[in-house]
Amino acid sequence: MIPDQRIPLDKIVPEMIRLIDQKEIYDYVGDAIDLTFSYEIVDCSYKFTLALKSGNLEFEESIDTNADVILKVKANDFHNMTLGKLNFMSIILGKKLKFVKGDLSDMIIIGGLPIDKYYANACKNLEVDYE
Amino acid sequence: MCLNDVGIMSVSYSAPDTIVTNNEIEQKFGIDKGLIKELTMIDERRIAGDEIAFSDLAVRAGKEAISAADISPSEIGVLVVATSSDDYYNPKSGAFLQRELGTDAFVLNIDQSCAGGIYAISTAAHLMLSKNKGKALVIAGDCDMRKVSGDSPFFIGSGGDACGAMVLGKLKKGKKGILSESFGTAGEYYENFGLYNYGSRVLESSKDGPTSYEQSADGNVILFKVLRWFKKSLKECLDAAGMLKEDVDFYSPHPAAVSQIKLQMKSIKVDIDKTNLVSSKFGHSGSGTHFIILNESINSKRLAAGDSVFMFGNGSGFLWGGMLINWCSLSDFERGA
Repeated sequence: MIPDQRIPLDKIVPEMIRLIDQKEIYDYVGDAIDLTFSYEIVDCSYKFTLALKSGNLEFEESIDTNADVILKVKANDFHNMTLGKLNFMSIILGKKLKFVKGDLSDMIIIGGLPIDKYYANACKNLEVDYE
Repeated sequence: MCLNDVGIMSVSYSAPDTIVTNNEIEQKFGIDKGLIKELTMIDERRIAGDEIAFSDLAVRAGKEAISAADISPSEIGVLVVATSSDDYYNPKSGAFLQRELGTDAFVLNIDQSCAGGIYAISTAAHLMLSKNKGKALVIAGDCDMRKVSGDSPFFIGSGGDACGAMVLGKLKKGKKGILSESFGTAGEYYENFGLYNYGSRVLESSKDGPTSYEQSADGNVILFKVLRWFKKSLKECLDAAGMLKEDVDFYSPHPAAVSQIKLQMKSIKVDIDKTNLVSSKFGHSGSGTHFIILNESINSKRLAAGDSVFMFGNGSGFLWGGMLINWCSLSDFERGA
């Protein structure tokens, strides 16, 4: 796991979205489910929303109050979670996520998306530690 | 006579008396406290002791279903048994159940893993039609939790042992039972999830007891696929019946972990109140869980004659099936064999 450091999520997440191959997401998810996740990164005041709609992953730099899931998480925990370095057990037992809305069953969806490699490439492009 | 003319006369189940809590499983397998509840949203499950085999549960469930349908065993013309956990590798349980239940029905054993219940209902209905029989008994369930290791907290936490039974009957003229059905198989996921042991592919010397029983190569892709198959099956059933999802009174999605059931309901944007989360008390007993859901829902008056029901199940392979059924009362059925 990557130790605590300043993680510039406000740069990494938009870069990840830029890199994502939407066709791969569509082929993987298809019309399985539409769900919207809003994140409040508690230690750097960054807020964003990832919305899975008709197999596409949409992105907004704000909280969607109508989101299915709204959660608070520390930047470093989001970083390790998205890179797959923080397993589900540690996330749950370490109470790494605070749900304002929604529950853990929804997280199975966002956790199941094949976005870790895009996040890693975004970190690489921005010279942020990801290995 | 067509598929619409076949309906469900009764449904019952038999589960072991032993209730196993999350705490007991977590202690037994060294799993962190609280993890199973978080992962599965299941509180407890029934697990058979070593002295109980599949057929013990099946006989009890079968007798109850026959009694609830108010018929004689001799009226049953077709018996379909679906399980992945027969008492023996060979012979399968069907002939034993025929004898113990006192029928001289045509017997068919099938194994469609966790989708077995849905396939068995459909198969029994079609056999009724082709053999011109007025009654069929469907028995479906699994009893293999004792063989599963604690390697996967999600898997061990979701499962349970139980067996369900259902009597199908021919409806009176003008009544409708089974409205439509939809089945499919995706063999490209054959290696993605299953219990890869005790078959001719696995050498005896490579068996490592229960610890090698489960293998899951990529659960994530299966989750998305299950949701897609669930929606596809529902759409095909609704289209065939000329109905909308809002017309369905009760849903019984693939009845595994509660978290998975919630996602299936969310995927079709239907309120969770339109199902009954009995998995939280029984666990997922393979092909038998739908029968528990239906029985418990009737008993709690959440399901009644006149309601339309959509049932969906999927199993390793991967294969899936859905059925849209109009729930009938006993007075809707023709009497006699």
